[in-house]
Amino acid sequence: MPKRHQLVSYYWLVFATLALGLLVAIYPISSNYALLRPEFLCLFVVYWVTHTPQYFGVFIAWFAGMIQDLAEGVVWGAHAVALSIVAYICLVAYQRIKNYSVWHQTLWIFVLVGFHQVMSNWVLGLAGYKGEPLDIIVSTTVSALFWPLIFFSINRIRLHYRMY
Amino acid sequence: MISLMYLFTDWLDPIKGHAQDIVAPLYWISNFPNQLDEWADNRLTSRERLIQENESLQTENIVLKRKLQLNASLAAENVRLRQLLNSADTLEDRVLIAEIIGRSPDPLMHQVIVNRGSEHGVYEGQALVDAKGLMGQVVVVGQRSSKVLLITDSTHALPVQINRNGEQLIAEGLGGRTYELALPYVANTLDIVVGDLLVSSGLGQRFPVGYPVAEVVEVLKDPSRRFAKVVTKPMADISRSRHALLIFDSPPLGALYE
Repeated sequence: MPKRHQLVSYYWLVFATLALGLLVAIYPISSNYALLRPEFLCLFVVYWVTHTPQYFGVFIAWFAGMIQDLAEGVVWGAHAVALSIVAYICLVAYQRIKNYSVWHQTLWIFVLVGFHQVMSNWVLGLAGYKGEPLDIIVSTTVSALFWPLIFFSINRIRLHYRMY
Repeated sequence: MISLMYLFTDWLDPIKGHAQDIVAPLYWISNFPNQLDEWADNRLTSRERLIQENESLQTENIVLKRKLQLNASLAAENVRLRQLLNSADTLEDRVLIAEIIGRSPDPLMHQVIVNRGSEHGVYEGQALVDAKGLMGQVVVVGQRSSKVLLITDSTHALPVQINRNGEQLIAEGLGGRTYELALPYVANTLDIVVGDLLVSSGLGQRFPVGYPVAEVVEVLKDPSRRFAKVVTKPMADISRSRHALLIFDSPPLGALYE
């Protein structure tokens, strides 16, 4: 059982990473490169669900997705539903995912982020926006390649501040 | 569930404005590097460059003033002719300068956030123009910021007319990364050529009359098809403008119905 101040600092770190993910999600970049934007928020949610499933579940994932929807101004619920399903898959499979090496995990992340993109694009499709399959694959690949960076840097921070 | 409510009912409409207020600070933060760049640009410009810029602006000013002289006499003539025809005068539109502080991060959606809201009198359906032409219309009004749907968005269409001969058409946004508008249902016999200017016709009672919308860049008349394929490029710098004007041409639509 972790001490209370440890839990507080844990949630601070979670909050900080999610805020960073949101900022990356809306940071203005040229429309030519917009499809290279990595889905940091999704990666952070996957990280927190697989590493601390006792504190971070579907509900927080849904909430984070909802904030992303509000921030991006897309159809409300698009990212929320995608992130909560991704979080659920991670909750079911975290023991297995954590046993893989990082590069193996990256492949998993590719599938998860791809699922996230397809789900959110499906909801956007209801509003009449048509996503190109190639765009989805490119943005998913870019996101997956960021996984080792996120994995090692958050692990480093948690080790340094003994947040377990 | 929420998505369906958002799309197919108007139950969420009252809180859309508040949501806009909640996320506006995020856009302020993400726009900060831009602001910093502009600030640094203003502070660190060399004297020579300022002098140069000043000179070129003065020249431009003289050229524009000359055009305005012609315009004044034309406007006076127009008013006289309208009086002869007993029709109402066209009113000069009141405008509000707005800065674009954010763009939709999703490349599929062509939306921008401007730094004006209900506090400044912005209303839903208000037109946004930049120095060259029409950009879009306000769809969500927050207290100090609002969301604008651009004319190139794939869910947007507006009535236009060809400036040369007054033919009335509809211009649909194509979405995607090309920033173009298509003209659907153009008969093969219609008089339209590359280079024609399309201006807003004001028929939908959303946009004011006469603002430049787009220029025709491609006309493909294929007798085997029912309609000609026409692609146009918006006059406004849709993907680059940072400063734009909100036009007050009519009372808010809500006031009309009340």
